Amino acid sequence: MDTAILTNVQRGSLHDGPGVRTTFFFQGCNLHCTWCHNPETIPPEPVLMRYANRCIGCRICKDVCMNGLRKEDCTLCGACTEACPAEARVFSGTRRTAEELLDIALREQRFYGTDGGVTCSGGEPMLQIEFLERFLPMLKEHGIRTAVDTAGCIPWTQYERILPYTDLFLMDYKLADERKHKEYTGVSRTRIAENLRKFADCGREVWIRMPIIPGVNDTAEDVCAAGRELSDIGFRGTVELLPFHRLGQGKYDALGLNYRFADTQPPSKEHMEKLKHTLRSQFDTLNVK
Amino acid sequence: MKTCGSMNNHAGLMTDEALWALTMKPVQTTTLERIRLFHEADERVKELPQPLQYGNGLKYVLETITLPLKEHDLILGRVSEEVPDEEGEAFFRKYEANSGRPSWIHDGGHRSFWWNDLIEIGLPGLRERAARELERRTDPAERTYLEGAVCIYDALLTYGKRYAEAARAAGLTEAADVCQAVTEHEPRTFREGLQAMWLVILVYCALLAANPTLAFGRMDLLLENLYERDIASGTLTRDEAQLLILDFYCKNNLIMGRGEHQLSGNDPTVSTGWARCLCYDAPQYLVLAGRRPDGSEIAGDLTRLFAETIVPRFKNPVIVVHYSPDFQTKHPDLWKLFVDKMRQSSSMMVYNEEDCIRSLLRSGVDPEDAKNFEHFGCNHPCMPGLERHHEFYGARIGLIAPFLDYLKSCAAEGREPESAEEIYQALNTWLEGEILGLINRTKAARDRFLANPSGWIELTDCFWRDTIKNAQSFDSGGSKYFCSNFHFSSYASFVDCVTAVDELVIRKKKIPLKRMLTLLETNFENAPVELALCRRAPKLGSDDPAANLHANRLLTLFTDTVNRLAAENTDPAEHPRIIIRQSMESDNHHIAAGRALGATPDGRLAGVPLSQNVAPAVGSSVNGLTARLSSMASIPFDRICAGAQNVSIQPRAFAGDEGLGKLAAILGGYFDMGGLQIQISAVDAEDLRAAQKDPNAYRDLTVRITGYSAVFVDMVKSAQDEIIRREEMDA
Repeated sequence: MDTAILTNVQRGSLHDGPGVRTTFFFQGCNLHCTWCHNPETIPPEPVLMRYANRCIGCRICKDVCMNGLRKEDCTLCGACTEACPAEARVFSGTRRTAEELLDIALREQRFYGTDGGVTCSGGEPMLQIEFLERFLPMLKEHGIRTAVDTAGCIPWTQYERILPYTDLFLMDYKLADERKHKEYTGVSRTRIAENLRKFADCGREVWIRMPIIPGVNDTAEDVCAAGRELSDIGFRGTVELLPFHRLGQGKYDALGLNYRFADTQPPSKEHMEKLKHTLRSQFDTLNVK
Repeated sequence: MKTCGSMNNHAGLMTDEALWALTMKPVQTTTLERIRLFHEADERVKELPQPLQYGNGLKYVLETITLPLKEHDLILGRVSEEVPDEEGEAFFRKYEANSGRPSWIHDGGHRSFWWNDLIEIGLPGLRERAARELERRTDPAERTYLEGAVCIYDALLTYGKRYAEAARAAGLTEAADVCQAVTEHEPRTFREGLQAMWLVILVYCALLAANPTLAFGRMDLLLENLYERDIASGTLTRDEAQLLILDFYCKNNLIMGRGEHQLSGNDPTVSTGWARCLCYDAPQYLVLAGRRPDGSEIAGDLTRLFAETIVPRFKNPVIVVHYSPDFQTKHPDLWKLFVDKMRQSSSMMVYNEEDCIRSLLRSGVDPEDAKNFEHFGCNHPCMPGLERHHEFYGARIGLIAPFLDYLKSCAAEGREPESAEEIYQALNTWLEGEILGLINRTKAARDRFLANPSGWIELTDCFWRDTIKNAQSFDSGGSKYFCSNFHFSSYASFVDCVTAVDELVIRKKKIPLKRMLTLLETNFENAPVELALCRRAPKLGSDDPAANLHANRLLTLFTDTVNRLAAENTDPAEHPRIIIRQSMESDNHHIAAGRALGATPDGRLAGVPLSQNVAPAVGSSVNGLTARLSSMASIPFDRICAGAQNVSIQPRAFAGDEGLGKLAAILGGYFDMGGLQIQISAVDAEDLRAAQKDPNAYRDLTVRITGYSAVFVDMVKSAQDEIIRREEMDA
């Protein structure tokens, strides 16, 4: 595929793998995590976001809309986003060619240092596997290190298609318990668990990233269950615990969605350190960050 | 020299004393003794020509002045300071004109001494050289000039001998021996080298020069032979050398006053001022790393030691790292050490050596001198011991006003500009007049000095390259170059304005020119749509191709014009040679300039500060730090040789070893792309706001200004607000 739908490009990213990175956020995800801080990436197609706090009340959007701004009649034609002078109405997703993304990466390449590179994140970038299969080799040709950030719920054969061009997989680990996994992400963890085993032995560097969500998976038992599973399958890589944050709240508002975690406080620094300590002390083969 | 325990004790005493001076020294503190002694000297030398007034007057002062000592002094040299009583205050007031100095002293800042001779032949050798030249000369004016020079050297030698005696009497035998040696021969050890430099620095910065922004030069290169010899012979350990460097750093801060000369608003309750304290807040630049004239890199253990010893809360010396090509790859550990100090908001910056050299070459500096360049405050390259400055800030060119004038002239003619190129050419024509004016003023000034080339002397003359040899002052024939600076002020704001007009008026025709001018006149009142459009127009700093292209093309055009007109209107064979250097410098003028300017096409409202120095306008870097730096690297920096870029970072974003590696990669990447300069400001806006509310609890909070640091709570509120705005929007 020549183009991908991206919701965002983050240059100089410091948190999506090692070193300084350029992160491409792909549209579309097959999980529906209730705490997701990028809810605009979940639908497979671009969505219209309306930021009320940016609106200057000029009503130009109404003038250009053929449907009188009626939400139910919106055809996503883009007239209002193009006309809005305050960027209060924006599309979450735009189609980008591999060449465009490569240009951005090449502009950023000087900043990557010895560890950094490109991270394809999302959403679930694996849902646009044809694009990845074309794009990742282009990056490798230019000596750029690559990472794919995945929730892991994709047939393994798809991963095999990009294994040769991917230096690092960032794989999410949400919950060890099947019932809770279904409840909070909308899908079974069976395939994810199978893929975890395959990733452990895939010959590529893999980081497991576990978001710590208060009230969902923030107890010592939760992280130890994850540690046990990883240890049992022989995983020997890096495990990152990522604290929940509420930076995505504005996006829920812009999408007109209810945010279940609006009143949830992020875990304290002390609690995060305690969880990491617990994991380190019980599973010394894991490199806990 | 010391045991480990006593060394730690020494380091603690020195550092505490320096930090106290920076944050707690009463603002009324002055050096009454200096003022009194120079007044007495003035009475004694009244009838003499200036060079002899200066030489004999200084000799009297240095023969008489008290010699403060502390038990923990390793390097000797302090000045006696006091908070005057009522009588002392009256005395100070009576003589505070000319910063408490007699009329025959006019030493000022922005000097870069030729330290090599001091290290190679020492004070005695320098005196001997002047005496030999005196014997050769017959011209009365030249002889008087050289007699004055000999007198100055004698004064310094006397001062050193007296200090050695005083230290011996106080039981500081080692320090006394070192100081004595400095008066008898060239420095033969690392410690003697530091001592020789400090004596000269102290006399210049604390007793003679107002705003003494004196460059200490490339100290790692100057002293590396002495250091390596001492280490090899076992007469000095690395720890001992570090303690000496720390003492040197501390002493530089001890002699400073409180406040900030541009941002304290002349408020005597928070600001000491030049008259009370000659050094006040003058930044002293010390250059590290870079390359030797033969092209080899300076990245040895002494460079590392100077860097390791940096104390982040100190104001002086300002460390300037010269980044040579691929430095981060060739010397990754040293690069990380520099970046680590920078991320702690140390008073330091990195300059791209290659950019500066190329720019100096374009402006007509000889290659061997360009390679030898150093830096002095604020943020300027210089050729040590070779150049006399004329208009340092004289030609600070704000391009926005003539740009708006041109738009108005188009509107008056009932037309719109047809292309950005038309605007380029109109501004270039306007610029020619400004450049020719600067060239002519510089030539006239040089010729005035040349009319009396040996009639005036300063301490500077004794540490210059050709003054003694030519028997002419550094103002005239003692300097090879006679320089003025042409500054493109608030360049990013200007580029943003051109880009907005190109985008909205010329190409997309979303706002007609007349309407744009009306919007500016009315400060976008009741025009939220157009204001939003102007603000959305591409900005330098967001890595938008349109803004980047304007930034590149405009600067290329303008710098070519400056260099062409300078070449056409000056003669490189003349001595001293006229050099017109170019930079992007606004210092803190961007605040006042913004206050005086109405709304602008980039969506900036009337009165809001413009962009500062090289940096993009505050709030323009919407795509993150790497995009900002990519954008700035589109500017052809090898055409200008100076301009600071404050980069604000959130300390937590680059914490720990991983954070250090990331910051080092980003900054190194910028310099590898040709970026010119960076200084890091790592402070949370929340802390700044808290400091505004409770200044006493935040006396040690320093912020980066333009190549130097200042205590935040010693600034006026408007300046504090601007710093907060910068940290909030750009971090």
